[in-house]
Amino acid sequence: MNETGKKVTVDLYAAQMKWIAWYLPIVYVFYFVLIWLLNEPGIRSMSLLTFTFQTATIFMLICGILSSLAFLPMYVKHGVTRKSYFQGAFLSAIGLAISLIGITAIFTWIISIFNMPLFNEVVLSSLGENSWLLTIISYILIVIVYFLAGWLIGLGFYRYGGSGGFVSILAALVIVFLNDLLWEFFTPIPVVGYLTLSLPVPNVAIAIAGSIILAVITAVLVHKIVKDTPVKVA
Amino acid sequence: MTRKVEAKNIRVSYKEMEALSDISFTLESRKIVGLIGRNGAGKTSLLSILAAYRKATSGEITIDGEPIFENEKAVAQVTFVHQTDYKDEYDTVIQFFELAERYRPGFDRKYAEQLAEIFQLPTNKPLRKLSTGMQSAFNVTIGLANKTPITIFDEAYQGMDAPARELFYKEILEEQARNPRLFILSTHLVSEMEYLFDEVLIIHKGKLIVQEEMDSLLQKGFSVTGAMEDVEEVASALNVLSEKQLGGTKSVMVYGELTAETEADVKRKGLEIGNVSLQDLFIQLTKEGN
Repeated sequence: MNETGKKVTVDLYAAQMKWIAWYLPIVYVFYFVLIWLLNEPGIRSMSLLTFTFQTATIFMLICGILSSLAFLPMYVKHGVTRKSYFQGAFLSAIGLAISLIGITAIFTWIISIFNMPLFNEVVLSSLGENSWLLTIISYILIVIVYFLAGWLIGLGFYRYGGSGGFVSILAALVIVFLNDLLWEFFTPIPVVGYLTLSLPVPNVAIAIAGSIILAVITAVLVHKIVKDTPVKVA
Repeated sequence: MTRKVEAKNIRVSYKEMEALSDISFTLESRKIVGLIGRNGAGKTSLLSILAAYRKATSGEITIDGEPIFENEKAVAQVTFVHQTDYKDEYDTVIQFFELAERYRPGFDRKYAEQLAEIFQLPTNKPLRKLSTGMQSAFNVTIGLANKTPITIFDEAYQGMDAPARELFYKEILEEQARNPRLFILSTHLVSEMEYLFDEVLIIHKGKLIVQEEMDSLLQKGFSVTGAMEDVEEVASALNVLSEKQLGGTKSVMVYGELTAETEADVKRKGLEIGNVSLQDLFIQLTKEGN
């Protein structure tokens, strides 16, 4: 990667981390309030990490949409190639996902060592009682897929306008749907959660491999769209 | 900073509409080039190709022999200033200076700040709060201060009042004297800006109809005035753009080389040869039916 690509990576990471600096505290407060007030087993057994992860999927989807609409024209205007933008946006999204899940994992762990009665019923994730590494890796991977889906939607609209945008929404929905399906057994998921579709899913390893494949396919699609997308004037 | 921009058979089409057809030209550095054309003539499409905002449907545009599109080295040489929608822009002028400083190696922060002062730009206000004229002044500031070898202003003066436009023109001339580069100015305000141009490109309905040095262009366009019959006789051999008549006196606007033979004929008949402005030429060359 060249110097410009690195610069874009660092700058996009910093810009989006500013959004995270707003977003994370709000989600944390929301979590504590919910667990304090609600006596619902579904909530009381949910760890901070799993709770944050669920909202983070949508947060990352929105980051993906904004990346194409706001950052692509800005960088091209400043004499940056689409290739450097793509590299920067992709790597910064990975950094974002790692930071988002990593920071939350640290807080979740801190809560767990205090052994407070309020959090007695909390289970880290449906991947298992003490599955820290597996949970962290899985969550990071899933939010990256959501970012890429958002990126695809944003670019579809930016490049092809209304009708093409809807096609990209459909494509993104299929990607997210497949991804959720892969993880159905292990995580409470935003999209498939509302459908009563239950297919047998073999194991976490396959889910991880499947998510990586989906991420690669989406990234390739995004790259194909971005590489010669025209930047609008005005 | 000698740069050569070369366009070869550029064609751009959007769905069914052909925006540019078969455009070829060469532009040398150290010149101020005026790009003029009517609304929808294809000016912005052409400039978008030049700034790598889009890829030509066919044909190629190069800087010093290197294709521009997705070429890190080439795109870094070009600044494209155009009207931009800042209604959702919360960043301030200063923040934009910082961005330019980071991505444009030639960005001259001191000069940018001087320009901000000249244009009385409020540097700590978010861009969305600036008036259209101020936003244009901001665009112009970035364009000048980037100091890229190729600087394009696409109707950059929108909303700027006459004194601000004058300052802008003056800055271009002064900057051209200090750090010569290739300026391309696309404009509607032909009469106001014609004194800036060294060379002129006129595009009409997606085609390049004129590329001339300013001096020779003005020599090619002239008027012939005198007695009706005499003028008509001379004009029959010339490319007449327009004619006016008052009583027995007629005046025609002509575009083309004046041969020695015709010149002698004009003198013999006692007709008067006059200058025409770029604006008049532009109007006549691009009027309906042409």
